[in-house]
Amino acid sequence: MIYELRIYRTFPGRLPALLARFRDHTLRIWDRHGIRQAGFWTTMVGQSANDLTYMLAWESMAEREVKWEAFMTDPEWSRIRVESQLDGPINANVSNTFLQPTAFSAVR
Amino acid sequence: MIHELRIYRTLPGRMPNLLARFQNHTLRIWEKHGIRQAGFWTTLVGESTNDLTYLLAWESLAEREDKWAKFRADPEWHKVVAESEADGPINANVANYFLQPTAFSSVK
Repeated sequence: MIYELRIYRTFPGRLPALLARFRDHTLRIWDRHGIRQAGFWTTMVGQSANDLTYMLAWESMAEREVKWEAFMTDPEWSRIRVESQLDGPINANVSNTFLQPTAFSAVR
Repeated sequence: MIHELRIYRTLPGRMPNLLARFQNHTLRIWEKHGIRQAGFWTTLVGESTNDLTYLLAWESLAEREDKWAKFRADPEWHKVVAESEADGPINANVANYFLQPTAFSSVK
């Protein structure tokens, strides 16, 4: 597996809107596209309490390329993205990293 | 659970030494102290390919305080650090965060 670590920095006061969007919509749309989450975390102690950290698990870069593209162009996702931001944008920044499990990792 | 995200930036060329120290020594010493890993990853695409990212799982901050102090004070760990760095230091930087799993996280 390849793990994609994604860190979203929300605008002040918008983390609840981001969490609700994942819980109520994004996870369901991902299921449809076969996109697998591997954990979601808010920040207890760290650089910013506005950050949401999560991981996605991919079989390969090729799988990620195909499935992420299908998700990003999904009409339902396009609608949800617009509707969830009618009262203003949610994310100030998105960063992502591709990680490779080590031989001795508890998660592979 | 609380997850501690730790990112070690190794000095150039020293990643193999860090991986070997975890695999051959640190994980065993952690087991002795009841410290649980939740994944180890090298960087495939990201800010630095000298980074090792890993997660520890804690029941509480009190558990972390107690067990981490015992680990840091363990004479075997001191010996391993001295021996593994006899030919020079391994890490250039260590960053850590405390993360709280969300209600919908696949990892809790």
